[in-house]
Amino acid sequence: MAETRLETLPEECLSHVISFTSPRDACRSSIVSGMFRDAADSDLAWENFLPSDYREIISRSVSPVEFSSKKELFRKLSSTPLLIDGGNKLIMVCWLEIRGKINTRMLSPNTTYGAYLVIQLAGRAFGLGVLPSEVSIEVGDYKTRGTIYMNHEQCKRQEVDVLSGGVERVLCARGDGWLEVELGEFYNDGSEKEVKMEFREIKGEQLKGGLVVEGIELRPKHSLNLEGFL
Amino acid sequence: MVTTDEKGPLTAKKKSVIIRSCDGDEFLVSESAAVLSTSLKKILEEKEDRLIHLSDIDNKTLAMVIAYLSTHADDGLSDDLKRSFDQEFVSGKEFDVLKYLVLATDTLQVTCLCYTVAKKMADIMKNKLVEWVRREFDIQNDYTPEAEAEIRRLDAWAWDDRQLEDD
Repeated sequence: MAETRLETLPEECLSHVISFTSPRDACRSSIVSGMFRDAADSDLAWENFLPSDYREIISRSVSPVEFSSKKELFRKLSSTPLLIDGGNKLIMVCWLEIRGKINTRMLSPNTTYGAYLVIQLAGRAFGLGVLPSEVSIEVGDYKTRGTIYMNHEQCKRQEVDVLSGGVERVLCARGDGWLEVELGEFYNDGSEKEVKMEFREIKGEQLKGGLVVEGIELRPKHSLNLEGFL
Repeated sequence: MVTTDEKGPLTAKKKSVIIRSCDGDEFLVSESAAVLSTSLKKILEEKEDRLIHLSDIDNKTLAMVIAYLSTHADDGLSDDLKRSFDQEFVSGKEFDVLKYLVLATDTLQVTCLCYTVAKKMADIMKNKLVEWVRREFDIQNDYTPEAEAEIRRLDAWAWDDRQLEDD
């Protein structure tokens, strides 16, 4: 058999193979060797990991997104939230419900995402922490739910499992002046589905107010990809 | 040696070509199968004689590619059958064999097969340790420890080696 070692495989061919792995595998490929890195960092390899309509997404961004390669763009989109919609302030209600929808087309395939509600509590916030709020995520047949308490005091606590089967989550400070709470996580297998995210507190009829909502942020959870998770 | 493709002896009416591997084996292939490779199609358009010598594809790999081309050129097979042939084609193949195949299909520009093989290789590569990749691709680490540390720093999240596989 002739010596056609893969060292002589064209970079483009190798990039093609890497483009079918995952962002994590592609990053790790860059450490195999210098030649492997050129293939693993190429736009050809990373094009597949970006949402198919990333051009539209970044064109809707409030601040301009600049990048020199597709890999750099992926890093930016994963590490810095992209604010597409503006914020809203809740004056006072008794029935609180926030819903968000996004198509998985706008997200990277083969990636586990966490959805986070990004908020602030105004100094005069009231009525929000009386009862736990319900949060849920639905993607196709997959559904996850949990409960959260909207209290400042519980900011630093870790997630705790509760008897109801769901997960109880708490508010965390983001370091940018906003607070966030995880609504849930899901795995995007690359097929086109609608992600429905919901936050609600409708059981307590007390008045609630002082909630400032920046939006719902989706970002990859860089834990292991659990394939076939859904 | 002349080997006919899977459809058996070709009728006089059908045009055929002879493709020779780098190790000297010759394969008789119908022209309708050969032209599914963009590279072979271009060669056939440009030259008169019906012998094509491929200097960088060995006989085993070439036999597999020709089996694929002949199946896909067979008008008697449904698209479903061709699709299941494709899945069967890559399943259970050693990583090493796939490496030769992806190189051959890239050279011959057999886009569909190149895609299927690359995807299969990627499925095998997923969640593998860097050491596994180096071993299977027969590649030496040419980084200095400092350069390696710098790359690891760039995408720290990717370097959690728990649950990665080495075989």
